[in-house]
Amino acid sequence: MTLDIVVAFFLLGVCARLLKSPFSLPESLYKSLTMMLMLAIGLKGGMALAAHASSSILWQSLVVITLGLMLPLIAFVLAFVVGRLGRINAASLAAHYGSVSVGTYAVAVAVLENRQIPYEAYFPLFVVLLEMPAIAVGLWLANASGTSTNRRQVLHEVFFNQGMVLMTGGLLIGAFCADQMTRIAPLFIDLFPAILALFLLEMGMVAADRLRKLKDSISFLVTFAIAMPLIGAALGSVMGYGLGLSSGGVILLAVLGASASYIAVPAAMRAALPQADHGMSITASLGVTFPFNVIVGIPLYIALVEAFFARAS
Amino acid sequence: MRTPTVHTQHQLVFGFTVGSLLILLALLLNILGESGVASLSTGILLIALNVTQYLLANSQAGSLIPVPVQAQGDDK
Repeated sequence: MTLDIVVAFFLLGVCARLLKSPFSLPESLYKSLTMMLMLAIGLKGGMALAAHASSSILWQSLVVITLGLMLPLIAFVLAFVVGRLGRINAASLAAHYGSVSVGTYAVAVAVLENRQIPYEAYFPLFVVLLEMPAIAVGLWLANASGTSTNRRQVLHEVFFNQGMVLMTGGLLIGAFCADQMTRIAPLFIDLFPAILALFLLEMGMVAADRLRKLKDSISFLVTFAIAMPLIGAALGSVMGYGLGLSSGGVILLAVLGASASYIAVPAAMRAALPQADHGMSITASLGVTFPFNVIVGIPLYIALVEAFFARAS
Repeated sequence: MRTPTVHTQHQLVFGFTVGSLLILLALLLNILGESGVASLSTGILLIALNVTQYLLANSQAGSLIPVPVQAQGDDK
């Protein structure tokens, strides 16, 4: 088993924090890296969309949205019934786990490209589509108890958060200006793995910090944060296989199902459900699920899907 | 005062199930020729964590028979 070079940067970040090394990336650099990752993913997807646009993508998109609606419901049942977290906290946590993590997706793409496993290049479209449904379901679950929310602010967060604007914008620019992409490719395409490596260095440090904050609820939250990626990956891979995607596509849909949001959803939930324990949700998604997916999950999903495809063919 | 740790039987079973699943996947991966060390160790750690917290929680409560626990949330 070879360690992927971008994952090695994540482990460096974790070790640096555990060893209490006093360095950190400047906040503005981290924000810039996040924005560049989102734009790069959108641009790559837009170029692929321009090259492969077909009616089957519409059908696949509907199935992907269904996945985005199912995952928060499963997460809510686990958090509410087994975890006894209370309706608001369970709904907020469910929204995090129904949505996706662009960072995890970027790692999966880097690993697939490193191993030369082909995948459907228009996947960034699915990343964008999976951002929204979970927030809507999370708010519906929270509102079932009669909690009032600022609908206008929530809708603004759902549709115009940083991830949505940059990835949708990137998709559109990539689709309509695909012939001019060579002009900006050195930054957004060629440097993508290096940008991702720096992003993961910072994420490693943040994840190590978050893990310390789990305290008393540690065993349920850790179990939940590992169970949900396994459930999401199983559901995603079954749907991906049903849609007739390539092995790389099935792996990516499994990774999208397995990932939990730590950028877009926390911002939306903070606006919509200020009374929820946001620290708990982001600690679980960033402190446990993200490292689990990067270190254990992605190699696990790749091995299982490839073994399944090898036996099926 | 520190709040006693809460860990119900359902949560213990949940932890056991997820941990066992990871161990099973690791064994399956070894059969398939891939290393499942990370999956195996995560599974074992998860089971150990759940058992430890269950024992800790119920020794704090003075009994190994779990006490019914109210939701820790907001909708009381």
